[in-house]
Amino acid sequence: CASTPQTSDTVAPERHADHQAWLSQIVFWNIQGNIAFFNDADGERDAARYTWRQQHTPETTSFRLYHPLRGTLARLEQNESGGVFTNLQGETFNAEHIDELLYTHTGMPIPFHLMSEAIIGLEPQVSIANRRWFESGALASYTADISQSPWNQQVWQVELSDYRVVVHNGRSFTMPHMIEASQYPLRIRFQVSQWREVLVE
Amino acid sequence: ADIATTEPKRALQAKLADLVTFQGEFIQEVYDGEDLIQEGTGHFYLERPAKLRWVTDAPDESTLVADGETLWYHNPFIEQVTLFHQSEAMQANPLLLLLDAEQANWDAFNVSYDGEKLWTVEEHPDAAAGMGSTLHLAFLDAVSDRPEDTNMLYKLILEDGHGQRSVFSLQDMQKNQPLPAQAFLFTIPDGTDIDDQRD
Repeated sequence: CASTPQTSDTVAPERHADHQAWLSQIVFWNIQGNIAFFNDADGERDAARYTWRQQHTPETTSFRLYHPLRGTLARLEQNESGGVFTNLQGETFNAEHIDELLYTHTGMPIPFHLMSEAIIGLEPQVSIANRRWFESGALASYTADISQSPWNQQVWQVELSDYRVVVHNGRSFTMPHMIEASQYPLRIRFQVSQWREVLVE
Repeated sequence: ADIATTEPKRALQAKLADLVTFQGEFIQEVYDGEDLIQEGTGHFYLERPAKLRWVTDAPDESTLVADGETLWYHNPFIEQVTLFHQSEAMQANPLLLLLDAEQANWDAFNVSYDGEKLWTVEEHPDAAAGMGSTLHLAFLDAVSDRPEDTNMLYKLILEDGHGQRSVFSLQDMQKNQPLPAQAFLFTIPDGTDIDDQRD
């Protein structure tokens, strides 16, 4: 079976820097895949399919969660003026951030901004530690602190794997296709089934 | 006037009754409005009145088995199988209506025929357990005179009532042929979490 590539906490700096610089050219992407939520305290788990359209500057997110049997579970739109959540009944709710909206209305905790960078293998622009890389220079894991306040402590352990080459308009990008973010007891697993669009500057 | 347009529900039930067993492959395309958001392939076995196996291939793998009593939905990505009472699942999902000859579940749905090729099964606006979904079906006999194409289902379109539409194009269909013995048995893989939704 496919062996798991080795990771290390030291890699030739230029190799890592080159990979990060190449990825930072990406300004828009459109993907679809599977998402799973695990609660490792009580064993609860749930899964759905998602489509995600992300623009980096100005940051806009269009995210849809759906289940093959239950249909559309949630639609989320985020732009500079705020976030909008549409539920299964078609009702809409507003708040500053879609993270808060999704969690309030479904109990599902997704740190969207952090994940929007992890999805393409980019190092997030927040305080991070315990970085590890693959030999190729691709980011393998890190701990990110995105706490917004003393009562909103958010320290996520992020693991990136299943790196594959994605080619769009003649450019190729090595990007992760499995991303797992955990903050005990919560664990979120993103699988990218298809890269539909990737646009660069 | 022809029964398909005067009594579309009875006419559709008669067409489906001809499919005692049905098997084949499918190509699935999921649309959000006009945007194609997911593509997939898979295969299915169906045995009326109450059994179905619907397998979607990787990367969005899943297996749905209706064994007559229980609906098993297995998602290997999350290593979980969810169990529903088939009768309850049937009310909420017109796709499962393909199976059911009993009038009871059909009462929750309106049926219409466009006079050319498309049959539409939609929930009554006041259907209790419904998801507001609509199913369209197309049979080959509307576009072919060959005897073997009579009542041969070849397309299903499932609208979830929120702008999402799944189009299933069927291929290599076989009608009323023997099915594999284990077609409607679901064996739970080791280490799989069981989410029993039957109350």
